[in-house]
Amino acid sequence: MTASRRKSAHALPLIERRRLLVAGLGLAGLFAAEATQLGALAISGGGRTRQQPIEPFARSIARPDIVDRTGRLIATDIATPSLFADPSRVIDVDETAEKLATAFPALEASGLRRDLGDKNRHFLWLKRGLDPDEEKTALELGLPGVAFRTEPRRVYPIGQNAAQTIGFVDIENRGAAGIERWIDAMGRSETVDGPGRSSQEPIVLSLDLAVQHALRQELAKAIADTKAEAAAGVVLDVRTGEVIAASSLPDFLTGDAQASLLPATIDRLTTGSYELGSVFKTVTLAAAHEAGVLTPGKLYDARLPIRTGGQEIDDFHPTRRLLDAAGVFLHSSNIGAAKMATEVGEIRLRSILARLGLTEPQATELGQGPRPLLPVEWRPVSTMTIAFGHGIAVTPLQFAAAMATLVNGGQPVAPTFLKRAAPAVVDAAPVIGEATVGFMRDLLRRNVTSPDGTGGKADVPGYEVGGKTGTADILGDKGYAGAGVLTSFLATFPASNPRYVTFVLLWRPQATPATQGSRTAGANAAPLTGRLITRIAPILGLAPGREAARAL
Amino acid sequence: MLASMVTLIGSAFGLYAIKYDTRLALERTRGLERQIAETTAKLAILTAEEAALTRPERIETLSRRHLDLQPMQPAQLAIVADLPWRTPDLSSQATAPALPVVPP
Repeated sequence: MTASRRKSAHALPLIERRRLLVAGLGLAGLFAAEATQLGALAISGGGRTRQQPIEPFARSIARPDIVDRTGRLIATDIATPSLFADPSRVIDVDETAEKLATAFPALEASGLRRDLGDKNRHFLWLKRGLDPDEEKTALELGLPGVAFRTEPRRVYPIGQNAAQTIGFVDIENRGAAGIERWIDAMGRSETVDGPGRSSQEPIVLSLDLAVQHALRQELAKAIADTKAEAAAGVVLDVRTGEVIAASSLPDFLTGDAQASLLPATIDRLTTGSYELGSVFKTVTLAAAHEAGVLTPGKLYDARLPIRTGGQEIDDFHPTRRLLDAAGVFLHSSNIGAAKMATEVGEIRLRSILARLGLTEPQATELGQGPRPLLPVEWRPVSTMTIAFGHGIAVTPLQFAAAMATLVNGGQPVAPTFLKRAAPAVVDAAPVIGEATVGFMRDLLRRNVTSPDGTGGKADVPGYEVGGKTGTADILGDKGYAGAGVLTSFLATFPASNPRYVTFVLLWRPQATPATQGSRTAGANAAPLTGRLITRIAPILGLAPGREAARAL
Repeated sequence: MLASMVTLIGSAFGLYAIKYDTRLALERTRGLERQIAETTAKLAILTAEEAALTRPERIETLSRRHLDLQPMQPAQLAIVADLPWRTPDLSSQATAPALPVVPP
């Protein structure tokens, strides 16, 4: 049969065969098109044609939750209604514009009239993120061509806390600053239909909200006590580099983009570089010990100020006597530290600054920090002033991380705002010798326990606090005089086997009755640290001990 | 021939029954999906509300106002090993330490 058909087909003249072929192909094409259409309809579900929503209308951005290290919620998306108009469906433009402008004072009638009158438009946001009252008002207006769309909106149920660290999002729910911006940079936010929720695991921060709250409150109390302009503080885990708490006051309601633009509310911990003053002597002493210049019985002559290059280096509390290395630290002698640093020499001092990460910008999840300010032209006097924390400016977080290295066993620490996965301990090659670490732990502790030391007010019985004060003159328009001071206190506890480093700073504190009429760090930043550690040590799981604090 | 007709009609009915079941199941699934979405949205709001109500600063303000408590001091903290003595081991009477004699 097949053979006979083929034969008969072949019997047809060529032209006929061609016509048949064309007709056959055409029919086949039509059937194929029909089958495709049928298939498409079967998949899309029936004869209803779906209206393709307009692009900005259809998509929104869902963000993962942010939680603290114990799982407490810091930020989440909630579905909120937003009001929009479809100008092509608005019947009475004037009435719609009038009614909307009356109900929502933020909207302006004349602009609305123009936008709603444009019949070529199909989409116009009226108001994003309505609260329930506004939603009710809009519903009651019952205007044709005006409708709601639910979209995710970021909320921060923690009130006024960790505002600069968390950052904020823009109107489209895109991260614009802080951890929120990092989330987007890591591709952890996603585009969803309507009010969809993020499919991502929550972002677990290293912060502990309870410690964070204690830190913020103690800083606020210190500002009230000393009439300081600003304050900042950080609690750092010396073994993992995790930032347990970070606060910079004045701050603002978390997530408030407008308030974050005020110059006063900058994050002083990671975005500002400061000359920290005497607290920097920790670096000098460590450098001297590393360099091996601290031979037993070595004394530094602090009887006379040093005059060099038109500058005079003198002590704040002059002792006018010979001091040993510990004495230089405990009395916070600028003269002694300058002489010590000169012995260490420029090259070895710069080497230790580099090893402690104080010469390069520090990168965290919040972005790249500012480049440390070092002498443009390094002269002998630069070595001397850096010895007591002038002529070098670093961020407070950077300094805290350097101090963590000095006490944790010499391992470099990269601060992070994310909780580290276990095993969390940093296992990096030490950059500071073991002997120097022991020397520094002992020295810091003695500065708190010794009657000569400046840190006595930071002591907390049972927690073995070690620390160093810093009172730096702020560089004003007319030099260092009269522009106020920046006081700070660097602490570590328990000093014999440090777990945490705290660093607090106060900008332009005043001498008040609450600080016994003094504006130095020993009278404001040190007691602030004592109160802070009293509150946070139990939260951090440390029980007070007779000699050393132990795990709870 | 007849058998194949019956089979055909039977399978057609069967097919339609399955199709309608599928459609019903699909509608139920959609309903459930919508319910899940709504519940998830409500859950998110409630979780956020709970977090706002339990934030440390609020709890602290409330406890200061309503409770007769003070912030804990390190001296008030102890761990079990700090306790001065343990109860005597009752399983071995013979080796139980003599109780201290209270002077009259």
